[in-house]
Amino acid sequence: MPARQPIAIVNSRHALNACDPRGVGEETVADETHRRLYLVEHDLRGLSPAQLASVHRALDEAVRREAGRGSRIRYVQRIYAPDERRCLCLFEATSPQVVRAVNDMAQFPLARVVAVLSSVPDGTSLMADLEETP
Amino acid sequence: MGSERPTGRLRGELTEFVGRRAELALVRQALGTARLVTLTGPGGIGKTRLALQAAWGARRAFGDGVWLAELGSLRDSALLVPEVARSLGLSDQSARWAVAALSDCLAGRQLLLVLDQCEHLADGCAVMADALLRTSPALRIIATSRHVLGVAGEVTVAVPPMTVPAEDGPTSPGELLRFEAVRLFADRAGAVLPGFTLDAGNGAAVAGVCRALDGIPLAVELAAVRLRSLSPGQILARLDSRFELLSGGSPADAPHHRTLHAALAWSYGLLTEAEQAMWRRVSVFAGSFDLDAAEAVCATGDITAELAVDLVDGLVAKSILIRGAGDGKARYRLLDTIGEFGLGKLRAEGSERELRARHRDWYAALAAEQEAFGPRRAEWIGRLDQEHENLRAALEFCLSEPREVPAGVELACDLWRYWETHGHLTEGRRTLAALLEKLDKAADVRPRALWVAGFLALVQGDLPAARALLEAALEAASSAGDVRSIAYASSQLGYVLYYLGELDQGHVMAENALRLHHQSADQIGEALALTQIGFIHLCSGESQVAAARFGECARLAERTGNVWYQGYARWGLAVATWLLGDPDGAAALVCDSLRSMRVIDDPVGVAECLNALAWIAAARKQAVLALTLMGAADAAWAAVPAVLQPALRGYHDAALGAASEALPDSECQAALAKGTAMSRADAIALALGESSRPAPPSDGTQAAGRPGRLTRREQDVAVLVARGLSNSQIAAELVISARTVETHVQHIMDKLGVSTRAQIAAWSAGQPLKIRGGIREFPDAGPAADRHCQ
Repeated sequence: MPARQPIAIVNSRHALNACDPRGVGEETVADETHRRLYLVEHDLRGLSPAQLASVHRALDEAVRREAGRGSRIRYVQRIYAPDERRCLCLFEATSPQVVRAVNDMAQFPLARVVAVLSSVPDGTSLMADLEETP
Repeated sequence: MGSERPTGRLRGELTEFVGRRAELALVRQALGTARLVTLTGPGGIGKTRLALQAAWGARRAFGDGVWLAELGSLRDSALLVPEVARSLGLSDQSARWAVAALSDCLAGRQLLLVLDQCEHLADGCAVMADALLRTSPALRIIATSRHVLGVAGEVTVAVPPMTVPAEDGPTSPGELLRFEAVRLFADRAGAVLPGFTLDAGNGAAVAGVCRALDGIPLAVELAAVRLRSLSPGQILARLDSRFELLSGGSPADAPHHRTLHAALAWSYGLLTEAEQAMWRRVSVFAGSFDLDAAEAVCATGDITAELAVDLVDGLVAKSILIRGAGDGKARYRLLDTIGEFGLGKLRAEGSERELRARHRDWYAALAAEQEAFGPRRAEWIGRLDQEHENLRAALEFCLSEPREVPAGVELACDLWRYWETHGHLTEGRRTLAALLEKLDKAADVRPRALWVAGFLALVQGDLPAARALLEAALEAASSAGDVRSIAYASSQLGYVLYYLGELDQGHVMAENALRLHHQSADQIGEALALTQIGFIHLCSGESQVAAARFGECARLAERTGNVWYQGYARWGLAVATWLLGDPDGAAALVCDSLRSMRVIDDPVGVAECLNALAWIAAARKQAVLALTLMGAADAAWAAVPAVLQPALRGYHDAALGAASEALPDSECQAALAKGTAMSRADAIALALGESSRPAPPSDGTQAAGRPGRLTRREQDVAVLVARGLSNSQIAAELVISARTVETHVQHIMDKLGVSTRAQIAAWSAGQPLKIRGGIREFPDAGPAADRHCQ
């Protein structure tokens, strides 16, 4: 079972695994131990650099405001693929509804929220091998 | 921009704006330094009127106009940007981040946006405002909200109550009229009681009423309308005797909120039982409604349809309902605060569910009845547009109760062409996604909901989502033996596969869909499949087959009165004919298609036709015409906003290259610029070889842009409005009742296509002078007004 904490770099094909099979949305906000990770992918093709910056700001601000309402959510990480203009946004929250609310607020009304698990690759990762190659 | 959009849109107000000089100055000053100015204050304090007045006053600083986005009835913060885009007359066609799509449209435009009633979606409004301001440098916003939005750089103007005389203050009418609340009372009193003037006999009572109501404008207006049956002294006495009880409320409530609630309760208490019931019942409407809807939804129990009409009239007279200043059929709306009060009473009575179900049934019937493909399509789209908030409210009701979800799915699916062709793709997709989440897996309507959702995703260019939905639709429809849904899902899936490069499979699915539609005698489905198959062949360079399929579709559409597919089939046939080497035949077909597109008011179809005619003109070596039409087509696409399909881009580029080579660079640029600057109507006229803008069709399907002539009496009223006289002052001047003046003002606004008294004044100032009986007269209201409206 991959570790849930701490959240680490997930830019590896080993790191993001399948959806949580237990189903989503069953926990209460008050239940701290059941916080989970959720991934949202945004297609940002056709956006100018200023608009891209605004996307991130809007999501940051939406998380701040949602948290201010008492929801438990953290914007853990974003991974941007410049060639494809796609952004993977990782949130830690008590339910997918909270993540959806944040994306709604940031004007992503059709965002698909996927529950994911994250783990830290061990020392035999591909990057480590490459570094050792002369 | 070469669209026909007016440069600005504010809501029409029939009553005089009173006072608020200090607040207007504050807002003006704030707008000079800040890009977001938020007017805050409790309900009924007059934030909206102040915002609209301030926006109108600032209009000269905004070359692209001042625009109102009314957010009061929107409950879904994810749809804020699409709603603002809708208010600006823009379509929601793209799957891109809505903020980016909107800021692209606003690029370089000097525009003032009024975001009205942000309080219930305050966080969403704040995030949206921040993002829009950062991505649209020339945009400024005035927001109204009960609370501060909390956006960086926001300047807040707290709207206070109107000024009222102190208990031991002045008593002479002249001095009392220096106080805003007294002036407001006197103005509204003049409208209900012709000849009412503030005098020594009633001044103290009026001052007392204004004081008792804390100078809250809505409360003062509600009290003033009671002058029809009570004297100022009687109003004051009744307020004094009932207010202690009524304003008792929770100590946690703000004092102004308690006062307003008490004033509403007082107003409610003075109505007849039937009027009270009507107030409660009309509170289920969102936005505005017409008499037919009021009769259908509210006429139940003791209230007959005939009585409902009288009750609406009574509620208008008592300022509970406001008659809108729009053209055509009368529409009514409730101020947000008054609606909330009515809804509270309806809930307390336990009737909310019944009324919401009746409301949903009425709008579901409307959606089912609409003509989505015939010649009255544009008229229907206009009607659905007017009812957008009500349709949304009906769907929200269906989402709120599990047993109503199937009815919600039916309604959402009946609106499929409305969502698609009128730029509400995101809202349609989101609504269907929410309904599907709650819908029973085995429900009969599930296959239809899935293919409609897939269809909307396809139109929006979200191919992965479209594929997933359509495959699910096909599976569900096959399990249920729902042939109709199998056909529609196959047809759309064929298109998706084609776009994903799986040409053969896509083609097979589309042909299969055509066979099924034909077998089930579904002529709309058949036309849809034929158009898609024709398009696939067209893009694959198989012009002969494409021409045959489009031709078949055109004949079917003509036979069945399907103007929509007739237009698109002729466009496809024209392009295929052009590719087969017959530019003259092709041009005639595109012109036929363009005439259909004009009738059905389809902006995408118009852009397609302008492009096709440009390619044909380039092939005929008419370089200037080709470039002008290309510029007009670009503007037409941008106004939607949308773009030419990538599969056809090659024809555009080739035509642009050929025409550009034939002319010096400066002439090319001039021709493109001329086309870009054209209105859509002028571009159509140019494309069709019409010398000037054509008259609107006799069936009234085109939006009325040209105002009718003002009658002599309306001209008189317009002149006096321009002089700054209030309705009661005009009534005294012309020796008619203030109500009659109000009606004249409404007619003037309708005819001129304007929404404020200041706009009437501006129009009046531009008219040639002709004196009749000491009053200036306008020789011809029509063309001059037309110039102003543009």
